[in-house]
Amino acid sequence: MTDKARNILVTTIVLLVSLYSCTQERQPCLTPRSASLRMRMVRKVTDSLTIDTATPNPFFRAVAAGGQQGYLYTSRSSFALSLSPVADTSMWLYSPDTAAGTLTDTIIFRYERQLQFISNACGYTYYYDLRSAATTSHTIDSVQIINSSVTSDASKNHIQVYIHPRP
Amino acid sequence: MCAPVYAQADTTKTADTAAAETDVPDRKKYDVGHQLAIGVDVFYPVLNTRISNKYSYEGEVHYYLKNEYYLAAEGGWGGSEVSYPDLQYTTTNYFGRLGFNKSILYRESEHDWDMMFVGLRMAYGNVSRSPGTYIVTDSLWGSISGISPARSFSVIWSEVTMGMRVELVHGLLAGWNLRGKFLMNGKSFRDLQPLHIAGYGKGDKGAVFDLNIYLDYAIRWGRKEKKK
Repeated sequence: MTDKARNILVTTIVLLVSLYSCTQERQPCLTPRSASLRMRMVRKVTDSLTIDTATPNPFFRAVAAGGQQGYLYTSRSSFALSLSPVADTSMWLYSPDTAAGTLTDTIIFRYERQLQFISNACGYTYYYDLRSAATTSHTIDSVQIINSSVTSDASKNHIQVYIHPRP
Repeated sequence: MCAPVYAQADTTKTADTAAAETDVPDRKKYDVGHQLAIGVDVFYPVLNTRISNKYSYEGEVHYYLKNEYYLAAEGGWGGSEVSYPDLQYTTTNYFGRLGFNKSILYRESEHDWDMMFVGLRMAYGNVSRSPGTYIVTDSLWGSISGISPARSFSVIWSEVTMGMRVELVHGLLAGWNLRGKFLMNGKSFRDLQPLHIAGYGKGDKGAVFDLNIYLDYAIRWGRKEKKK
């Protein structure tokens, strides 16, 4: 073995070992853990034309086994709601304008849960396959499932909610 | 190891003129006989003492074929334990790799077995995983726990590698392998990809880099002595 060979060997081993990562802590979870149902509020103008419809002070309330939890939004037409991973049904209450004291509609989603392994950093989550959506009709005219697969993909809408046409 | 570098420079010069191409002398080929080297990785045993949730042991055998090609066979075993608040399981696995190395250095003499090399491998492993206990936490709706059943599955990956071996004393070689590994059947165990697969690395990554540091003992035979 020449001195040059020995120097190259030692240098490369020191360099490579110093670059080698041997951390044992759990890596941070960098991907979305939860799958949210995305809904869009629209109003029919004609049979073939709809427009996005934002309400002034929309309010959603989840009806969970442990109680209710509400979310007040600023005016908008798109919402992301979570579905229950502990049941095959989730119930949300919707009020289009809390300030005006509008009547509250109830929306019920039925679905199949699909256990999904994300990674060792993030663990498991549930994805959902929507089966049906039903609603009362105070403010809401009807709901339509436009994409039944609810995953961590945040680019797709799943539900279109038709608000009653203005009188 | 130095002479080939100068020889390479000579080749570049002579390539400038077509007429000179025929004047390039052939590199001297030595009758080096056979070499069988058996070695162990000494890097992972050190890591095993520092990392409590995974372990690996690896060894290698390489045999000189001809024209600076070496047949390479490697193998080992290992395991891991995942004990996160929301995910717990253990794995054990064994693995084997088969491929070749091509030395890219020219020999200074028939006794020169120092080398830098590039190589390819195909690898196979078999992983046994315990039942995986998980909890999906949801602050609004509540949490749910469950068990992913235990299973065994095969892992196949390919590797490109580069490295070096230097003969410290007669027959005792030391060196390293840097490896780029590409998982080829990751979809088949997507239900719970292991944190660590001995021989590969992170089971939930499609491509990983890895390092081995080897100590080898070489047995040589069959070299014809020059007649004086």
